Amino acid sequence: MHDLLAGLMETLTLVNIAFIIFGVATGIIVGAIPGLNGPMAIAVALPLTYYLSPLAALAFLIGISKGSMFGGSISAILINTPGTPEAAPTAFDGYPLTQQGKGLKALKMSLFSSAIGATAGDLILFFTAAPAAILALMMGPAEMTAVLLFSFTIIAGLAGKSPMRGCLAAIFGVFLSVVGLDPESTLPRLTFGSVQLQDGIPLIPLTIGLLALSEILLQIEDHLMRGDASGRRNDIFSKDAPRENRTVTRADWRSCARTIWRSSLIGIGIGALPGVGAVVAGFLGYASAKRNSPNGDKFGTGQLEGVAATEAANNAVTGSALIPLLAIGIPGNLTATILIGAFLIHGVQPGPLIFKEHGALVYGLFGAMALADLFTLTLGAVGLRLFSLVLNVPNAVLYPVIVLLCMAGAYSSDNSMFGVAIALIFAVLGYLMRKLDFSFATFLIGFALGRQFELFFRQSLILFRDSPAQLLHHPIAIAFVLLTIVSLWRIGRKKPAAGAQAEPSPSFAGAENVQ
Amino acid sequence: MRQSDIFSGLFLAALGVLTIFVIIPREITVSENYGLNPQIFPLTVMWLGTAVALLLVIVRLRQPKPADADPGPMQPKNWLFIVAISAFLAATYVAFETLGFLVAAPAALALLMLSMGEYRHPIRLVLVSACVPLAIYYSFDRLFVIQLP
Repeated sequence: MHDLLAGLMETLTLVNIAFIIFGVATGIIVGAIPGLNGPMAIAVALPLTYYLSPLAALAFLIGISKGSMFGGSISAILINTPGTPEAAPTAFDGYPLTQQGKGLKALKMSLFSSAIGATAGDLILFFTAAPAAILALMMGPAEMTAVLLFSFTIIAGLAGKSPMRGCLAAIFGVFLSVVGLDPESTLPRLTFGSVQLQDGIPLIPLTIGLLALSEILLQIEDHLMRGDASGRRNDIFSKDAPRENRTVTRADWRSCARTIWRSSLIGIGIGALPGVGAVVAGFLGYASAKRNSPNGDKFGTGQLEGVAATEAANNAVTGSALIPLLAIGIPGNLTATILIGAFLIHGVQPGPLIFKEHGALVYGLFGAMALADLFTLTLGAVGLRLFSLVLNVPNAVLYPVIVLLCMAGAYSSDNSMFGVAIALIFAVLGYLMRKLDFSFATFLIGFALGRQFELFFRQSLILFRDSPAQLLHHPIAIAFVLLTIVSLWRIGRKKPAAGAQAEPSPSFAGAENVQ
Repeated sequence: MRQSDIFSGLFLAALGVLTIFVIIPREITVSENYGLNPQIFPLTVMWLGTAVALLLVIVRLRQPKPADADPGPMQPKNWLFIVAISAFLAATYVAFETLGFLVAAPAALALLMLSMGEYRHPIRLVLVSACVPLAIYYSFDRLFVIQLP
């Protein structure tokens, strides 16, 4: 109780509230810019939080995450180009609504359903993370190895059109995590004589390169090959438009309420599974709404339910994705993976002990999440007109400036050019991975979890190498091993999607062609 | 994607074999004195990676060829782009290290903007490439106490 009150009181300090507002506003702007997304912005902002207090740093990053999730829908609805991958299904019905002169109505529904979905996800996190952590404390190295193994198969299985490519990316991510000193003998491994590599490949520059810079390279390439496509404007704020085209009416609420709750539940469930993420949740929410709606056959032609379903589902993930992170130290999605870095640079190890050792920080984080939801709603409502103006910044200015910011961000991770070199190498690697449809998300999750997995794996080997029969006394581990086998069997049976053969570029740069 | 999967699978399998038989033995010292041999985990992971890469090749080879010609995700123009941009990024890296941020960044920014067609807006080109690096440099320096090179 003391931790709860202390955490909430700390959240309500002026500095922390200012950082939440700043984070949400940044997130909405970043999310609204096609090609940029929340994890990318968090990766760039992460080094900037070194000098903040742990709660201010986490509140700022959570604000970016929440804001960007809504921001992604702005460009999806206005120019049929999802700002973030999660918002891809939002464009299916959002853009037709804009073409019908109902863009503002679609934006408002997106904002309201985002806020409802995010709040539902947060509430589940607040009430289940601590009990889940108590359960997790009962898990030893064998159980954790089995859980991580299962997570890898789930992540790889849902990573993209080809689960096998997803698996390969995760395996190579795990392999790169072994670079550095051996955890037991402290002998250097795969450092090629480099002193800087003895600490391993730094996560932040790797993330900046793989996520942000590689995406910008794709956008620059797309821009160079297609020519400048900017300059499209939609006057969705015209006073001449009928009122029902600009506001969400009571009838709209009635038709969308059930969809919003159903999608929120889907988002919560998907978010709690390690490594699945908001993209899957958005598509599942949309698919479920289409299946259950009496107007299902009209989806794709401008149904408000389609916008509400996607946004409620992908926003619900932001809260529930932190359940596995806080309870057992496993990130639920890419954002949570990068948040591990934020926890670690402030000396906090996410996992079951976090409630015991840093209880006030966790409850402060919960308070910050609730405030971020509130500010997303208010800033979104106030700034709809302003945020959409960002879309008018020419790509030829925007992308070069982002490249520069990424390089400065990579440098600041350890005040050396080594970080910049890592970011540039992984930018090129990330470009090739995106082009060849190797999931960069599974690679990154494999890399982030690899060290932890190795440690548990080696501890289990040492514990059971003399008496493997002892493993039979660990039913949780056996259950997860069985689940892993079932998951692998399902991956093996799954055929690549038809689109995998036909689609020339899996890059998100071409996401405007989602329909 | 069939053909690119076959090529990337073969490349990764070859990389796996090279890593298992050359890189790991050379770069990881065998030690049995304390705990487990440091080679065990990297070797296990790389054997698994090589096996999955080969599996990808076999699965794709067994698939029938698509009726219409599959252009693949990487065309010569894509390779040209990535080679050119890699060279540009490498040159920017060297310029950052040798000349410093305040000299290299405006030049890099202007070059990127020019390549993206900003020669049509010379005033904006000059203003952005002069002001943005200065703004980044001073905000990192004053706000975040990070001195860029």
